[in-house]
Amino acid sequence: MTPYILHVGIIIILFSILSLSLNMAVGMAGLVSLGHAAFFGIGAYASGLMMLEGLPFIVCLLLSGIITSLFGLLLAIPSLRVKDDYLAIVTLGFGIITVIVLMNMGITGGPDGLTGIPQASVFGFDITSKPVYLVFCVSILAVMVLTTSRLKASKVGRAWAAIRDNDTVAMFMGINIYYYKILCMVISSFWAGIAGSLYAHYTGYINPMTFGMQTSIMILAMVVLGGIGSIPGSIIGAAALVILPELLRGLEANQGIFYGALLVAMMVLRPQGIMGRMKVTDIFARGGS
Amino acid sequence: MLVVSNLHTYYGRIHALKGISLHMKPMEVVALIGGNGAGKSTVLKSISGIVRSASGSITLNGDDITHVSPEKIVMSGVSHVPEGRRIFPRLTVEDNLLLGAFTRKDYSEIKKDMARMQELFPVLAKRRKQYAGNLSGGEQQMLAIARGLMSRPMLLLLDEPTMGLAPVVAKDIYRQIRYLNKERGLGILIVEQNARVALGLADRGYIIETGRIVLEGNASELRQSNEIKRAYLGKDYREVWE
Repeated sequence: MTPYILHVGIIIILFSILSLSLNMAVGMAGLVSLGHAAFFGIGAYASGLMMLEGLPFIVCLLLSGIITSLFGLLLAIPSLRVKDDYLAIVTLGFGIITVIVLMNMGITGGPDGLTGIPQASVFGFDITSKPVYLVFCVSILAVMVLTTSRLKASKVGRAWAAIRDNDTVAMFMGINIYYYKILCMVISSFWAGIAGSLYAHYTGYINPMTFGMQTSIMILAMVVLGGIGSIPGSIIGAAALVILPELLRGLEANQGIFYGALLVAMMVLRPQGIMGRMKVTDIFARGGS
Repeated sequence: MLVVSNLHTYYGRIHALKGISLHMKPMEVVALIGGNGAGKSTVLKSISGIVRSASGSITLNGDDITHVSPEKIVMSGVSHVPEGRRIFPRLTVEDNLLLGAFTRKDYSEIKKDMARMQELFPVLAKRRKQYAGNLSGGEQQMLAIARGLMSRPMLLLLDEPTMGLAPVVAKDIYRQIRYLNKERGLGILIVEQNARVALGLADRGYIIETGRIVLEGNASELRQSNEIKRAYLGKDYREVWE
């Protein structure tokens, strides 16, 4: 495999982790987030900064997940009192604020970002070569897919699905909806943080613009395209939206037009996404309970 | 078993319940009758803790549950079957039933109860793996009741269980409700707009108008009451009243 294909493969895996983590919130629990890239960024910066301090990669990877989930918790506690469209606006704001903070803080390197992030090694083994790093990322995605599908089939997953379908009726069942929503945000942001860490050590350089609105929307598009609530759909959606621009590269200036047109056509022909059962309107812009 | 006294509930600035008092004995069927917006559903939601009451008290078997969380109220034996057949449409019939038992941890017993529910409502057995949203209206209502029973309640709060159902289906639902009361010893507080049916089923009834109880009594007495006949039992009774 050429380095180019390996590179695309790694990016697909990283975005698969991101879209699956977002799908946990949007598709499994019905929590609309428009600022998911902020968690991606927090994970990347946390990991980058810790590694520049000399901490080993594997520690940075885990800690960045945990730190990001703390931010998820901080956002969830006040904001999960609102729902649907309002939650979307809160997360949108969170996404914007995160980028602005990263741009203006001294420790994060401001608009220049962080450079010279040491590359990854695990227990003394260098994993920086592209094939090895791809295998490493795939195994992390595998762990995520496994735990997420277990979670989805468990009592927790049922509580999330109930909240997604109708959170008032979920309360009638004796489900503490506030607790389960917060839990969802914490786990979802944990995985986004892990993706951030993997990204930071892959590129060795990060800057705030990578983690803005555009990326949030891109991740959401992967979720919607792949299928809201579907685990394989999250991966397929990520793969499609990473590969598509690469295939269209030959069209040069017209690339954006075709890319957009394909997305529109897809949503018209198959509104529930490639693997999903739910339409966008089942989650967004639905009426009250 | 259940005592509600002088309950006041607000939705923002709207005074929805203006001092509601009612009580229920164990294994009793009590009907709460009234028109749209009278506050019937709010009474049920206050009991199950979904809506916070401003003042007054609700006690269940002597324990104050006025400001207790909905999940604790479910655990103490109250199950609320919401109006409009609000099942979880994108979950299977089986998952809907499991969600009814969410607060329970006795997994082997939950399994047995699942089987019992499918005996009680045979249609649910046939459609076990189907999405609940694909069931017919009557089937959805049966699922909603079965789901409500999965928490093993002693008190079932039924909010307009036959709303929008064909008369034949409604009759079937009422037969099941009667069975649950007589054979299972379940206390049932039922909210209805259809006074005739509700009073046919209940031991006692309360008539609620704009957030106040205006009349209460045995179901047989209420059925005879001229005021009820005029207001709730339809125009056939007008001559009797006038």
